[in-house]
Amino acid sequence: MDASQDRYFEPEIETLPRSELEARQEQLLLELLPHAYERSPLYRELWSAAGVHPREIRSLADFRARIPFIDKDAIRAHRDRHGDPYGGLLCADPSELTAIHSTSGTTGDPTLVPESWRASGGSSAGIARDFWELGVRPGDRVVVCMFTFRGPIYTMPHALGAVPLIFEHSPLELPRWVELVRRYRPTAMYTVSGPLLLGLAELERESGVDLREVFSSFRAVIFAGEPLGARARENVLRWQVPLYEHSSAGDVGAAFECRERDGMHVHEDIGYYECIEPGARGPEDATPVPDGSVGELVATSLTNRVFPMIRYRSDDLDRVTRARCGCGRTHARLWTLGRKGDEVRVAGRSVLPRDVWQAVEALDETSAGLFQIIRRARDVERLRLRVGYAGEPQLAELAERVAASVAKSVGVEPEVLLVPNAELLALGPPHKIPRVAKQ
Amino acid sequence: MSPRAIAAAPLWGVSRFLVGRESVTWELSHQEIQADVAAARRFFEGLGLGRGERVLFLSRLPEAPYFWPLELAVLSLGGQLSSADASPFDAYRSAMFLRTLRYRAVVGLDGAVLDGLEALGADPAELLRAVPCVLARPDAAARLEARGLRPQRMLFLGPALALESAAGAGPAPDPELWELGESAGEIQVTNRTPRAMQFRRQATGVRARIEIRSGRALLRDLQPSSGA
Repeated sequence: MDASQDRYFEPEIETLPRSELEARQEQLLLELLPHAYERSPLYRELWSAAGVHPREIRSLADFRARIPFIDKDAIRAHRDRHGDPYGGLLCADPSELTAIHSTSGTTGDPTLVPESWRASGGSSAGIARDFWELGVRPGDRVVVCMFTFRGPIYTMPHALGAVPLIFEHSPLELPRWVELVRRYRPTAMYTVSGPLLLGLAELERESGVDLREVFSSFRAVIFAGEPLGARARENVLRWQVPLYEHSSAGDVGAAFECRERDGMHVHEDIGYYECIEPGARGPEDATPVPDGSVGELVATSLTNRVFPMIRYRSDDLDRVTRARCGCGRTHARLWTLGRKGDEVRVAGRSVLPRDVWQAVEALDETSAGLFQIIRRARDVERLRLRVGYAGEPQLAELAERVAASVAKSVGVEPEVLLVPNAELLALGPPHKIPRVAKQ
Repeated sequence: MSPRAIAAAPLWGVSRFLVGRESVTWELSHQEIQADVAAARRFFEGLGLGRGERVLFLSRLPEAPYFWPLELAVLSLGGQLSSADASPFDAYRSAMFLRTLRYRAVVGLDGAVLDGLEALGADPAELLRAVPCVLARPDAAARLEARGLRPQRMLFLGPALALESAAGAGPAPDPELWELGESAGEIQVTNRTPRAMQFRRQATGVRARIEIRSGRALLRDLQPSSGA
């Protein structure tokens, strides 16, 4: 059977009818709650304060109605208050751990992510499903172009019998990448980002390399980090890159587009996902948004018994649907729109980084789409932007043009501070820059 | 609902090693990774790494063929591992780990991480003082020694990894895996066990003197910028 017909790595679970999937989630949740209550000081403290005990939770509906939310601030506060490096969430004996990794730290100081590779469940199985659907098969070569802080991600292709080609996530690696892609003809790449696509455009300009030919062996190139800008999208189309988007799913799992490119799939046997009105304070006023509407993603890990996130508010604004996908899979799909914490309200008007993106990219000198919204508080009187430029433009004149482009697109006149692209790239991890800065 | 039966890939992976500034494509088999794990285990046993003790690994992803066997060896001894990039940007993560948890060893520290720590206003010597074993690359080792620390050296010899068992002992590759040679002051390596790629007097770009002590080939008088 060819890859286009044989789409499921684990057919039974990937196409499980919704009613059976929800029954499975309920069973896993009802096992998880007492486990977490007995072992996690943070959950015990929070749930006791809310007057709820796991024995009173008998269904998904009870869970949604009564179990309190947590967020990164609650974990950090517990960590600082009690001197517990794991923020009160560790549900295993520390001696059982095999690895202690960390969150990216994009929204503050990184927090610890303890793991037991014997006991943690399922997330690598989820990624294997995604790459199988995208056409990776035993014996293929898969480019792994990442960083180390998430652990040995380069072993991921082994689950599919594929060979990893290992690269650092850096534009400096691109000449070697071109050479090895031509030699090994990989079928997938995990991951490419805005800075790498920018690096590829520069490599093409400087060396004349035929990137359409280079990308011709790929069935899937995974894009992650930030939304794909319009300029980068033009290049991707021109190079005929089979690009698929990927995102974290509330720090509980990963979400990948399938070949239908109709939203990113999550694996609901690994995580339980809710999409609620972003203004909710607690379970008492947490209204689920209708299927397909925008809300805040709330995630619960169903299979992680070591460090389970339970009703974790991701701060991500997503659109979520549970309608069956064209690929035949029954698990939910999401579209990420941005981070709630990245929103700025300018004289009462909501502005997200994605609103500014296209206006910045539209000009040649700022086409890399590198910018930051500068705001000390969420509500401001004036939109202030730090924008990266290439070359040696006349800065005052360029600032006026950027401001006019943003005003036309967003409806708010910004104040623009121009800096060289390199200065902004130096602020971020290799695959993205912080889009909101306090100063 | 069990996953499909998937046969192992024909290779463990493809990465690169450096000879000076030249990048050499490096194919690795599953079998040689297992042999490297066994060697790494011998090294950590020699350090006395015990159950539940933590090791912080600082590396870049293409260095995985050196670091993954070390990490598996730590796990096989019941140890725990953490990872951060050996880059100035990710130094904040290294600082966070070192401030939050106690580590028995830090492996792979280089000048880029020290630069990043100093840019953050952190004092690397202070962060590392309580760590019993710091395996530093040559560019970092000298800087740490200037601050009064006693790091052990580690360096890449082309496809081989040389580790120092005690500060000042001299780094050495595992003698069961690699044979050292020298040509005009440059160290060369030859593999003694089967590998996906065979190396015969492979140039390493590292300039040093070989000293044989108790039947073991140790590297002495490393030249600056060798094998970092």
